[in-house]
Amino acid sequence: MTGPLIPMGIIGQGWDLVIALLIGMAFGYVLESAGFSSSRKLAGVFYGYDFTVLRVFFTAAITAMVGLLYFGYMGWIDLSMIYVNPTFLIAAIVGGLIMGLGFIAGGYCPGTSMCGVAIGKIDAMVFTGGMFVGILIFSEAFPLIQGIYESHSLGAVKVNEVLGLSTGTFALLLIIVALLAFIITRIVENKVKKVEY
Amino acid sequence: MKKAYYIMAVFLLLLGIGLVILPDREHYDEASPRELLSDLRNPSRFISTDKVAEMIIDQDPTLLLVDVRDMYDFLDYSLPGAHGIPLEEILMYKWVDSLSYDRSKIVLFSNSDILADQAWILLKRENHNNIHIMKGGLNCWFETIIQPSPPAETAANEEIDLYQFRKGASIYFLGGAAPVEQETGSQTVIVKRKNKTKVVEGGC
Amino acid sequence: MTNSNIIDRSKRYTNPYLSGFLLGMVLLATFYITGRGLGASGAIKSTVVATVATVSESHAAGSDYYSKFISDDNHPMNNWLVFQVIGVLAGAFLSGALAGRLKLKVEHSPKISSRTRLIMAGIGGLLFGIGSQLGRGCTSGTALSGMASMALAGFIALLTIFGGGYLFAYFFRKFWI
Repeated sequence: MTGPLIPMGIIGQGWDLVIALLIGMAFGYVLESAGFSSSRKLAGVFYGYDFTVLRVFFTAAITAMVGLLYFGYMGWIDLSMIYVNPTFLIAAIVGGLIMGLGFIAGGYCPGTSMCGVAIGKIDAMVFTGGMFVGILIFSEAFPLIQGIYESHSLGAVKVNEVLGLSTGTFALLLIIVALLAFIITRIVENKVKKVEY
Repeated sequence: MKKAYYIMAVFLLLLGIGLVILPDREHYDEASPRELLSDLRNPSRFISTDKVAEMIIDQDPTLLLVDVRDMYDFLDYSLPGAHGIPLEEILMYKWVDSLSYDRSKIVLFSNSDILADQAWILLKRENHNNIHIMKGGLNCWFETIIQPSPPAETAANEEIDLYQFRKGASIYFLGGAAPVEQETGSQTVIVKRKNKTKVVEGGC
Repeated sequence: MTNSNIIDRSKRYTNPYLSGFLLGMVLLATFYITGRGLGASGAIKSTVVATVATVSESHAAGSDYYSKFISDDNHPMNNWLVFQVIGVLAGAFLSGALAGRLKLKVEHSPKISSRTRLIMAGIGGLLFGIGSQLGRGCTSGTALSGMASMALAGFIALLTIFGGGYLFAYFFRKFWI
């Protein structure tokens, strides 16, 4: 049973939405139990008093990346069928910076704001509402931004190709970087003044 | 608590190193349908029983004979030096690695052409390039090599030569005594045929 | 000692490395089943598209942007991401309920007022809404899932989002610490 299952036709399309629901539940549960429903905990990564975001993020990315590579090696999944996000250079960079600003201002990102909404955080609800309006603004102003939006398309390029490394080498490098980050953030966290939340 | 983290960190590093040193799995391509169809229509995959006999007698090292009938038939009787790989097994496993080494000619055969042809399709899909079929299979083998039928008196020289060759081959394979040379009108010259990929002639 | 408060509270949150591992597993499963990663901003976008389409059909169809996400047979709400987000709400609710964290409140630093916090949340959301459309995804969809699939876009998203946060952190410090 080679994956990915739905594109390979092993699971019918009708199950699509049921699976979406179940995966979403797992996603939401894990995020909330890690504490991501709290905006002050999330903001901690930017001020050094709580690096949970970094730890969860790096660990998750590496687990999934290494998992995918080993699955591919074992023939359990056809890696060529995995969706690779296309790169639109300018739009990605500018969009990312705006998102960074939004993150530090609002203390949430879309996934975590959902978690916040689910447990009753009013600031999360306002954040979500703000996103709605933001998307609306973007869509209405689209003709003005379309040029930037579609410029510099590099296609679905992989980061290891850009760096000229093999996938395995890149994964190993990322693991080393992550482990170093874990050690450094631990030291920093111990030195920073504690914040009560 | 600390110790557990060290162990996990080491484990992660090992996983990463594993990814770097593990050899790249051969992701061989399958033949495209168009190529497959074109090969299927081209009769050059067939090899005559005479040619096979010649290669066996010459002890051609590049030859690999594969009997694709079931095991009982194979053990009962088969061509000398043939490997018995039933069609079922060819269906189940990928043979890319095991059949590729130092042999340049893989010749499949069965009782007639049917099973051999089916095996040929399966192996061709894996993009092998040197798969041939002995035309007519073992049935033809018996008729041409083991018990060749003599040509008519008025037949062309080639046919007579061919018959001589077949008789010699028959004796070779049956392990009999050397033939008594009979005076015939023409010289018996066994012509060494060059490797040509052309349609097989003189088959059954 | 304030430290014990933090520790108490941390005890009720799962160990971050464990959470990371579990999240990675969920992501891996998502890839294995669907061939794609997770995503969150897309669902809100679908809601916007659906709302605009309801309010004014012609405007939605005429717009270059909305029309991309409206297809004939599929109602914009009838899609993977929307159902995934419903799941997220349910899963987070469950987790919060089990840990006793369900409470209607505004979480803010004691140095600012609730009102300030809400205003900032609104602004932050607005910016994130614009940014996520321009960047074609958010932290979970592009950054996390993109990193797992080794997409360059994922790493750009990661570096610019968090880099942006660090860049502007100094100016917002009064709101958090």
